[in-house]
Amino acid sequence: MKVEEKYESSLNDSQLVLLGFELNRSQTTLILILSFIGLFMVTFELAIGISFNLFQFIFVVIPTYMEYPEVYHDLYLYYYFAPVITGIIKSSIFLFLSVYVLKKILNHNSHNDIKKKSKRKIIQQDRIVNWFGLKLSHGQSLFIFGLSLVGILYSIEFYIGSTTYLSRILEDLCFIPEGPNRATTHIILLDNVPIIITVIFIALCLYSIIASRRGKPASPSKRIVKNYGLLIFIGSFIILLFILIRFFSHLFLFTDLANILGISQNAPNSYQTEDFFRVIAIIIICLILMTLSYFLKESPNDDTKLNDKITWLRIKLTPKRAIILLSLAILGIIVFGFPSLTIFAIMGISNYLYNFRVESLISIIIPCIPAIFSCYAIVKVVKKHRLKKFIDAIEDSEEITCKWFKFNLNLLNSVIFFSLSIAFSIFFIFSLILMNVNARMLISGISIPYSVNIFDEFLWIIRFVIMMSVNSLLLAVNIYTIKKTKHSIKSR
Amino acid sequence: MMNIIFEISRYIIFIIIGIILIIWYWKKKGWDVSFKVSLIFIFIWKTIIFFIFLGIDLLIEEYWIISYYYFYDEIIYLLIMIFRFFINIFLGITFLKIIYKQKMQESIVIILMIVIIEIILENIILLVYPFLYFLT
Repeated sequence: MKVEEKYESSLNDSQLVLLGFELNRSQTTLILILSFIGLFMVTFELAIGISFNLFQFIFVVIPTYMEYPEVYHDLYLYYYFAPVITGIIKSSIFLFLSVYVLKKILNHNSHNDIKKKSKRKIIQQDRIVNWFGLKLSHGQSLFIFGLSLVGILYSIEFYIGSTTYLSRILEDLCFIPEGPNRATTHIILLDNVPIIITVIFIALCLYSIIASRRGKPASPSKRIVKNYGLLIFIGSFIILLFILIRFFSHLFLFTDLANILGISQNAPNSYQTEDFFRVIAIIIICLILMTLSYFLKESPNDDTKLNDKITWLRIKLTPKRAIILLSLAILGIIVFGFPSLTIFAIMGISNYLYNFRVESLISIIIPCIPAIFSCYAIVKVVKKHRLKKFIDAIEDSEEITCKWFKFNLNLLNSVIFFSLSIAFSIFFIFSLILMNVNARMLISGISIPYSVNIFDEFLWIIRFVIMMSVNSLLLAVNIYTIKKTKHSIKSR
Repeated sequence: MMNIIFEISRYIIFIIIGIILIIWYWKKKGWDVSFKVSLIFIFIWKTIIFFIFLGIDLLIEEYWIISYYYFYDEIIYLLIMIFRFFINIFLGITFLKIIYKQKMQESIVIILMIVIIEIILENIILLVYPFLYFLT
């Protein structure tokens, strides 16, 4: 009976339908934070992509090519242009999605939504999704859906822009040691591994998109996987896919399977055997972790009361502080998470391939510290349905609205916008100072000396103008947002 | 590294812009502040900043050793610029509090606004510089 009541209340909380998914207030809040971050970060990224990469291609690469086309490779222009345009298209899609979601959430009117409910199919919240045998809640399936959308775009970009660090990792995985300073591989492996891994990732993402939209009605007896269980599964699965590349490289280079590819079989030795056993050990560990995640279950209705003594680094988390912390932590994980993952992947692979060293471990951990702090903050606010309680506490306390462009913001949205705008303002001021430094260094002759070509200087000025205009515009929007939303912090 | 013509032209432009901004802000807030007081405030603030920046630039010019790596030069120069940014804000707020007897929050808003506009203007001046170099 208690469970049914809880389901009913969660349905009543539902406020928004996005891409067919019914969202509750916690999910809406998280998506609003992401879309606001995306709006500024992707715009900045797009400006960099256009003013640097695209302009470099149009004004430098093409004229150079046209001067002596015979000295370049046939597909030279394609190899240069494809990653540039893919990056710009990817950023444009993300920007479109950010703007669309932001407008949708801010324009949201519950009455309109109820009318629409009857017209189109809505993926309800009270359902359980089966994904690779794991039982997921509605929120977890939404996470998988978002991750898959991002995964498809990044997989395509990775394949087309094949000079990325990830390609280097894939190449390293294909080289099998034959001696202390010697490794072997075959050109067939190096050529085909990127396309195979891209196809596998796209297929998995497509499956996840379809699976996350399907589901069966939830029942009290069914238990869902824990959030960290899901993360362990995803992490182990990705590592398993990458390590399988090395596993099959071993098989195709050192066993009779070499005949299938039509290449000569290498003779195994102790170095190769030792590496093969290490690969097997990693595969077993990944499989154990994946299996373990199937047993990390909880009831979808596990709930806790909002504890007044929730603290983060000894700071007492009031509802407003919690929302500010969550917004900044999500921004932190986006800003620091990607470089941390890159360093982790590169250093992790190099540690695996070229013996373990303590200093390498330190150099992996130090860049990951901001990301770890951000993760800790997110977990602190989100776990055990605390976010819902924080949101309820804010929305029940008082109703203050303010106008932001043509949208009306409630207190919760104002707090989110205020905290993120402060962070973005600092970033854009820093960016302006950085531009100032580069320009001063150029003038003083410390950096690259003046080019003899006035055209190069003109291109430099155009880039500078675009980047500074975009930077100033985004900074102005953030200052405007701070001005409009500052009352939300002052209030009780 | 230091360019005296650039520094003086920047100093004059920033005084003019600073006066315009501060008078606009006081009028917007509905406070009655005379032009003379605004001029004194901006003049003191910008003159002290001018000499501090000039001193920093002279020190850099005297002791700067261009390192082999461009990256380290950029980092050092970036740290100097960040230091200049904060000292500019700190002195602006201090003088504003002394002269206008305003609250901290009001001082921060107007000083930040002036300093950010100064950075954008400085970037524009720096942008025109290489172009003039070629025209001459």
